[in-house]
Amino acid sequence: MDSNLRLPMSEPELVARAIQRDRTAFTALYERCVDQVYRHVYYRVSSHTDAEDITQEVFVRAWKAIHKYKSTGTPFVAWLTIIAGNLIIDHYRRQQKVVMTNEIPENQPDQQILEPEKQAEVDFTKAIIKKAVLKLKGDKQRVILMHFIDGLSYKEVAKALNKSEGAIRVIQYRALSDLRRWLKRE
Amino acid sequence: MNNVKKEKMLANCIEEIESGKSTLEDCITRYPEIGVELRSLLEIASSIKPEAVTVSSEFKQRARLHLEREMRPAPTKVPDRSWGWPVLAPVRILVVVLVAVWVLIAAGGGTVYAAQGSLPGDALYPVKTGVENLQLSLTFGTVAKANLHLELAQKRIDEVTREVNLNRDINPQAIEAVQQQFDSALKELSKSPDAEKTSQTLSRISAVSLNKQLELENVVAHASSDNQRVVQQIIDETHSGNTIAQVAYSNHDFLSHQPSVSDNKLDSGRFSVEGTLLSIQDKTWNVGGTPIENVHFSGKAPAIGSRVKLEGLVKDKNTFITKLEISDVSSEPTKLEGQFSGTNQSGTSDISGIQVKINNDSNVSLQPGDNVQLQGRADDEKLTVTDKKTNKNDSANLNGVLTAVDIKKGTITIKVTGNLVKVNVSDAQLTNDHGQTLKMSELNHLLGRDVKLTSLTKKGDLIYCRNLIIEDQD
Repeated sequence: MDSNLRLPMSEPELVARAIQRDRTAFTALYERCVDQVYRHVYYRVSSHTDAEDITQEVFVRAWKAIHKYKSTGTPFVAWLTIIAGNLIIDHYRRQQKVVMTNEIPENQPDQQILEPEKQAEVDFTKAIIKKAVLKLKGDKQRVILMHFIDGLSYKEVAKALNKSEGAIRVIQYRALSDLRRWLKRE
Repeated sequence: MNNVKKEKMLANCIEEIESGKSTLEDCITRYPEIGVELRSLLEIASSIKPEAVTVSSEFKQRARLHLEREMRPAPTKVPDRSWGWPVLAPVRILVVVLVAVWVLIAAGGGTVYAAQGSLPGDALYPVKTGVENLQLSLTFGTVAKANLHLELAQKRIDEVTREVNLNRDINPQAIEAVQQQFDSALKELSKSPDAEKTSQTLSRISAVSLNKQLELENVVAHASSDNQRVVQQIIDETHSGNTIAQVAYSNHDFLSHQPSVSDNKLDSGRFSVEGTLLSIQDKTWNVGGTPIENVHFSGKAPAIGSRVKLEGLVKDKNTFITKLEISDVSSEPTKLEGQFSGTNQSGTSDISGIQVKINNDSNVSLQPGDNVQLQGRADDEKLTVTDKKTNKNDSANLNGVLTAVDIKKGTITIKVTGNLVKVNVSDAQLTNDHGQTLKMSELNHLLGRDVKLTSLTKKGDLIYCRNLIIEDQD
């Protein structure tokens, strides 16, 4: 069969080939997952420059470690976001980003133009909640990010973290309760 | 109702709301026994969403190229980094520019845009620097050129930071590249006829250099030993950049004496002297018996006999005054503060480039590099050492005017070289000139006073300082 006529490979097929050091397959996985990884990283670092650096590095690290990947039935992106999590921790250890008055901004149209008050209020609430989410520790943060930011189902989160679905529901309940308690204090 | 059920109810509701099968109100109605708690948990859950960011296609293209390069089997080709920097021979510049123009035409600008995020050694980096050179050649006006050079200095430093974060080897040419951009900015400004715009750009140079210094100080400890050496030299350059900008902001004459960020001894020329102005002959001011030579001061000279306090910097036997205060009181002793660099055979000591005789009776042993305070009477020929501090190559410092205090947040705002800088001082030791401890609440009464911040660091989105000294008001 002409290769151009072949149906696109499924994710598990691409992963299996990538494990065999198939660069084309891994590049296809990159194309599939890069947006999702970027959004995950951006949510956590709030900077496009840092999100780009980290996202780029996630795929390089993933390629180097692909032989260690064990398929659990979860989307491949779940594994990538775990790598991203480690890189983000390293990133914060290495560098703490600061903004100072009068610095020349880069020519990046990063900032969203806010609509008047209502939009500002919504953004403010989201920002407060995001800050609280990023304060969560360990599995609590992982579960919240995997479900709400990465869009994984509870079943997929459970497989990715090697826990039962019941355990994931408990962790989620505790995490949201922590957020509720902190936000009450704000 | 036990927690197990609550957890399941919550998870079910979240899934149903996400899929559109139920609304929040449906869920509350279904589980009234935990209605209040469920409502607030569901409201929080519905606010946790990925941000609506668009992943740029240029980034995806760049990251893919990078990944493909990384995936190539070893040994990988070592890129010719000498292409990377703008310090290129004219023919190479021409080639790079032609490549940039060709790429611009061929790729409709996409590759050029993609190259903007590249780092030294990357395939697209020569395109980036080529376009920068093209930009420079198409920029007219000294201030505009200076601003562009400053922007490029900032880019070079950001590249170094990213290289450290990516554990990449930094080409030592980065030191020269940063220096060239800063020095070119200063050189362009020295030709500017517009004093106001010159000041604005100096203000930006000061802000950028301090900002970048603190950023680099945050990453230097994590760099490899080879990279550390390079990063430390660039930190020194940013420190000098800030010193030059601060001095030149107050005294534009300084620019015409070709200050360079590669000069890491600038700080040793900083001084302050206080005393009665006894005479001005040619360009030498005699302040309380201390001769200050080759004075550059753009304002009106104070009247002879008035008491003056001068601050400034001595470089190559030229004295650039950055601050002048005049008072009517003329009975106070002469005070000099600066850095001791040695004593010559005739017994004259050098304090920040100012030649003075020091009273040996003071019984203080001075080492070159010590910061000293001296005092004496105008009719004495000698000054006596009253204080000595061993000069430590400390982190960044800031001198400015206190303009605002936020006690609740533990921050102050100071004005320095035209910039308003917010600094967290909640963990700082607050003292006055005499070493007396101050409370944060007392700072509110000291607005408008000169303030010196030392041991600055960056954390989160703020600059922090460990020591704050409020200077005396005479």
